[in-house]
Amino acid sequence: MFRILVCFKIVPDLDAVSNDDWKKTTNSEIDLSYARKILGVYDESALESALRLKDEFIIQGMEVELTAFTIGTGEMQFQLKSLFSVQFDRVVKLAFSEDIRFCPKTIARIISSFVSKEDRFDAVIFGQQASIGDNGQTHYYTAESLKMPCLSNVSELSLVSNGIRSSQISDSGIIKQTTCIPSVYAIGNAVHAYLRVPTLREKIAASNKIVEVLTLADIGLEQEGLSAKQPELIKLFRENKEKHCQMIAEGSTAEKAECLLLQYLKEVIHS
Amino acid sequence: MLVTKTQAIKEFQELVGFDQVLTDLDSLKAGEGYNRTYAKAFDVYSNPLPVCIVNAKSTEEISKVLNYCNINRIYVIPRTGASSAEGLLEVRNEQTIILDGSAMNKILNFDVDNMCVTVQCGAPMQAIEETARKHGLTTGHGPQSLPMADMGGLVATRSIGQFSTYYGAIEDMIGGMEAVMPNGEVVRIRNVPRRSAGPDLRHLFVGSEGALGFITEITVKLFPFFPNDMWMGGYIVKNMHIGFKAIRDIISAGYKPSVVRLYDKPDIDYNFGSVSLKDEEAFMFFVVEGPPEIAKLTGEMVHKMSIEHGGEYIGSAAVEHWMDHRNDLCKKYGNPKTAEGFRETKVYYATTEISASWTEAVKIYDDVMANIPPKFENLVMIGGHVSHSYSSGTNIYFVYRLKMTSPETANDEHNSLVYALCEEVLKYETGGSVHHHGMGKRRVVFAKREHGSSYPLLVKVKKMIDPNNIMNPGALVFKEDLI
Repeated sequence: MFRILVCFKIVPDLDAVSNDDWKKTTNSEIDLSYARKILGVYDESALESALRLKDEFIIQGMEVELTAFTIGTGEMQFQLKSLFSVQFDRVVKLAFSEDIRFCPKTIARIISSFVSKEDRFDAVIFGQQASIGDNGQTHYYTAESLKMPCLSNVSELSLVSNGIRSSQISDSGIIKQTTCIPSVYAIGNAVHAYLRVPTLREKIAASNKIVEVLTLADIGLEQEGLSAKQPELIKLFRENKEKHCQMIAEGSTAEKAECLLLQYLKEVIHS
Repeated sequence: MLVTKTQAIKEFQELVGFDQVLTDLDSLKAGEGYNRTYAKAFDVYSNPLPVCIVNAKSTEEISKVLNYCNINRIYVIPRTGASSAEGLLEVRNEQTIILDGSAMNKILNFDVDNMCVTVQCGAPMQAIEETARKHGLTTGHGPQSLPMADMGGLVATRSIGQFSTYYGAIEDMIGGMEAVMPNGEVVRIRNVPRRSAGPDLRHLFVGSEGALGFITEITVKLFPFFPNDMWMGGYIVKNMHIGFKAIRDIISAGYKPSVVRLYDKPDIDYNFGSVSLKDEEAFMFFVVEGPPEIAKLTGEMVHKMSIEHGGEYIGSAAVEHWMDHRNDLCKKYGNPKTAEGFRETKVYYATTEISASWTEAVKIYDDVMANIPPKFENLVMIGGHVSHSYSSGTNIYFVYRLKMTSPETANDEHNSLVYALCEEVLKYETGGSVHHHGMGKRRVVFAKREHGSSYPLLVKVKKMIDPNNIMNPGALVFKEDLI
């Protein structure tokens, strides 16, 4: 049986945080309690990539098992249960109370310990980076720890006769290669970015499935050994992303284009 | 159509100017506004294209165009903001033009002494409201389409805003108006505070869905605005039934918060995700406005009554979040990401709003939640909220997501659910199958049952005002009844 692990995060929807909230800093924190919880954008692509891979396995009549893994203590039953509805076979949550959003090495250590405790995983899939933390390092540290090759900026995974074929987006184009098993994949700008949506009936059918909740002890780790030095917050500000529109009312198209070019060149020179 | 398309286009150009007649394919495809957006995401266009879009800049131009169309039997779909949700702008016959008044966007007169503002039909609602706020006033009209809608369409659809419990709906706000009849005749209804001179002729046009004339100018009331004296409160109640009862008691006692809302879990989870509810629980919240003394007392009493009904007070932060994000849906319209989402997930979100008396609204909610899911295996979610309440009843705004079979069948699949939902509503004597979106061309199939024995009167009015049936055919009355 081919075993696939997808590591994902549930994060606050930062687009749902109002402008006023960004100004309310108490203890240098932004109030995110009313922000909707969503799957990390790239994690959503990773989950869907794994499901599409599973679809291909099933078409070929091959056995496959999909496991989704996350770390946290927050209430996220709704999101976790919905993964069963879209045909994940196992959903595992590692209960951990500390804030490790900015500690990719700690996260990688937890994931590696989980993988090591399991029989094996043939593919370990991540989203390229998270919206909070945004370090893009967790998959590298995990691969290093597990001594697996790591492919990043993956846009698509597919099943071929001799393994898994990945498409990676690079500066020079798209690299397609068949990778050895097991490997770590970090999904970036995926061809299919959106996680499939289950119907109500599919949700009801999956409602009795149980999310496995593990502790550090279950995967052979201790809290003490994992406590990481938190990064120090130096400054908190919201980047102003306001856009401006300037209408050039007069002149022909060519004259307008020339005006724009001169303005652009001025800005480039001054910067 | 008594002329060829080519001839009609030429003559429209002579009437309004060459630049004001659009015939390019992109404009024609976009003519229907935000209707059938799911299919359009797949580049599937199932309705005929209009002959052209005629952009009018004045009442005189509207009059000339309608007169021409009436003589030559060309169908006309009036349009301003194009935010219509119920298929109102859909072209059903290729002998149709879209007559657009959005360029008539001026605020003509801002009369602080008499607390009213007169605007042209294409005046954006948001611009009118922003102008009012600069004077410490408000129009009180805040539909969810506020960032997108123009005044003409808001009147034609008999719209309602999110603050209606205090300020009223559009029909309560209108003073005078001007409209152009299908034959080009211009009628002006003077702005008087009230008149008792026969039936209120404004109501021939309010809610007429573009089927009785083209509204060109409207005067609406202004109200004092007290943003610093607003009271907000959010409560978790055990279930929707308790919420219905609490709101009914608060409204019937005479209190008028501007916002009175009750959300079930599926709706709040999908649309906001800002409050964590257990399965049966509901989120009830209020915003109170008005002069500070009134707002304070009303807030105190609303809070007292909410607690008496078992509400768990959770503060105002979730309500502030709702105030900030209540119109976020508008960002999805015309957004390429929305179309991409349709193509990837095959899931479409829609809403259907209804009304009923207090005693029957609860039953309708239960019936819909119980009876609709088993009938639709492609249903992804269904939920609802109460958003506009009266002493005699309330509305329920059902929200749902459907996984579509194909872009070609999407509209039919959507209609099937809407029809099933309306059937659940019309089982009840006080069940109204459309509260504020207008029937459009989607729910017009229920026009007879909605109006009952008064339906023939509506048909007579349509025949009398628009004998050639050129105005937005397919809207307001069933076309077969006009033969």
